Amino acid sequence: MPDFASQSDETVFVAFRDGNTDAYRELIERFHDDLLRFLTRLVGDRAAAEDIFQETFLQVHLSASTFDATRRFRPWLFTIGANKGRDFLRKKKRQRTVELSRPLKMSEGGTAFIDLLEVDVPPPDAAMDLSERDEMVQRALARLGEPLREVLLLAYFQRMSYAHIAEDLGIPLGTVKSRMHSAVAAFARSWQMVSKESTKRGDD
Amino acid sequence: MTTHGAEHPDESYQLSAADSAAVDRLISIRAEGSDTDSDPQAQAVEQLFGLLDTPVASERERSARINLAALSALRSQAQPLSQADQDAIDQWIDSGCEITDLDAVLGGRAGVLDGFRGLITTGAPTDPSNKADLVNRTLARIQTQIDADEAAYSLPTRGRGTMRFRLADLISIAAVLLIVGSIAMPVFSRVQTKSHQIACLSNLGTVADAFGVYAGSNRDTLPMATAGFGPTWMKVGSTPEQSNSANLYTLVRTEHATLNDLACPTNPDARTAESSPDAWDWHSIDELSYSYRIMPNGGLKMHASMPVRVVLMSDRSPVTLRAIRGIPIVPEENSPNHDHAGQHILKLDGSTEWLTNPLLESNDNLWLPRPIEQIIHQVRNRLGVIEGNEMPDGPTDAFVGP
Repeated sequence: MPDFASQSDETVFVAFRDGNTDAYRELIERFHDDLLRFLTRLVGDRAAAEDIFQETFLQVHLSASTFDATRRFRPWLFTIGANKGRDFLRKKKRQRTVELSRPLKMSEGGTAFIDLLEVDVPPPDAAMDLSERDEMVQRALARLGEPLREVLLLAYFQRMSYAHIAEDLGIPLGTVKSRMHSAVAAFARSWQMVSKESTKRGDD
Repeated sequence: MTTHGAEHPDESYQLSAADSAAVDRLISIRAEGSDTDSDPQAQAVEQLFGLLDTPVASERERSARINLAALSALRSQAQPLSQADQDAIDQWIDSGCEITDLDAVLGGRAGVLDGFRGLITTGAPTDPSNKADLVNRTLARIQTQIDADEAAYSLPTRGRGTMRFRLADLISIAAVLLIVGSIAMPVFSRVQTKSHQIACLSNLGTVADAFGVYAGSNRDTLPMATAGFGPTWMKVGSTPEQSNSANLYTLVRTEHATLNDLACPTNPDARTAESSPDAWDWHSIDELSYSYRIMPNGGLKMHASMPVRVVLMSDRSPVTLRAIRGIPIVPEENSPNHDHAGQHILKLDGSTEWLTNPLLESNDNLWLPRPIEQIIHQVRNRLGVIEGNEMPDGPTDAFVGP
């Protein structure tokens, strides 16, 4: 078995496409942690994320011939994963009533800016139970609508530029920017609320 | 007792009546060329529309989602960022999410953004065995697809005398069952014998207790008669190495349950009394009333991290019954107990459920392992079902109808 460890994702993928099944195992192992976490964050359910993970790689296999090897494999994989996740969410979306007439907090009223500098984000090495933090992040993300959650996760997991995200999602650059701003603001607010709830529970 | 198969709720969002009226007013106000000054609720909706700065038509694949649902999701999150924060996000994203050199410029904001990224993209470490399991399952699923593709081009022959399924057999079975399932699916009586159901449910409750007591005194393992299986687990009444029911019989052998507890009143051939104190198993498949989870080699331990949805036991499987008799299976058939109206299941947490079809969450078929479910799904996708509009493939193709 050739040593794939030092080779780029794209090289390994091309080896798989040429019939090397070891290469596919390498790719699946390589993206296991990131893709599974991305899907879990996106759909909010680990068991479903595992199913979608398999479907994603099955789709990669089925669409292998359409991949342009001059492009990056990672964004392609995540875009397929996001599509599969979106299909899943569409199927399970529950009916809910949304009350539009709650007061809108528009900026011209001078109200309630989210200030990122006021958000308390624990440093990566903070002494905090990882599974508890995981659960809090999941709760915070669950409060975001699907379009915002998707753009936020794609940006964070893929480390892509706006231009790349716009191209991948097929939406205008300006929309990506404004969605990303909204997504960060929504996540910041949501994280604050979840943190507060958690602290309150801890105090009880 | 709950009923499985509740329909998914409608997938759309719904506006409250007041909001719906406001939308209607806004549309008519606009159509008249008036403004919304005198109508605060319509104003709110107008502001909401204003949030959607996206040219809808340019969105590939998701125009259908740009509806009031998406609008309201945006609205509920509409809390603006300061210009400094917006600029920080833009620069941070376009630098490839690196905080080096940026943090000083952005006054700590890049650090916050990086903190968010850390929160979202990292998490509790994955258990290596779970990882290996998922990687293997994913590869197996792809292999199944490759095999199914290959099998589709070469018509299979049935295995000779072996009890094991070969992939070729499965394709053949799946192809046959399309016809069996769509044409000959019998219209079973819907009349349920309530007293039988209650007696059966009471059996399951007793057996659930027996499982609990057995596991408690056997280091949390579930009943198991042998360390593993030989080439098959379907030969009821042969040896424990070839019969999964021998594992369930362990409850009787160790006096945790009686044969009567494991006899459904709807099964006329159910054995209710022990013929020999040395018995290891029922004598034949006909005597069996319940199907037991296929035990992996080495047995199965009950532990806290196992999902509750694991099904331990159910009314007897029609699929293994048919397979043992060598006739094509019907995957969605209900248990022959209870007049094919449904089946009870007993889950790991001791709870019982009445299912009106054998499909669990994620369409997991109670009677089949996932690889076979996938093949059936693929064959159905590929071949479709007989709809009654098919025609013979030329004069030499024999094809008769009703």
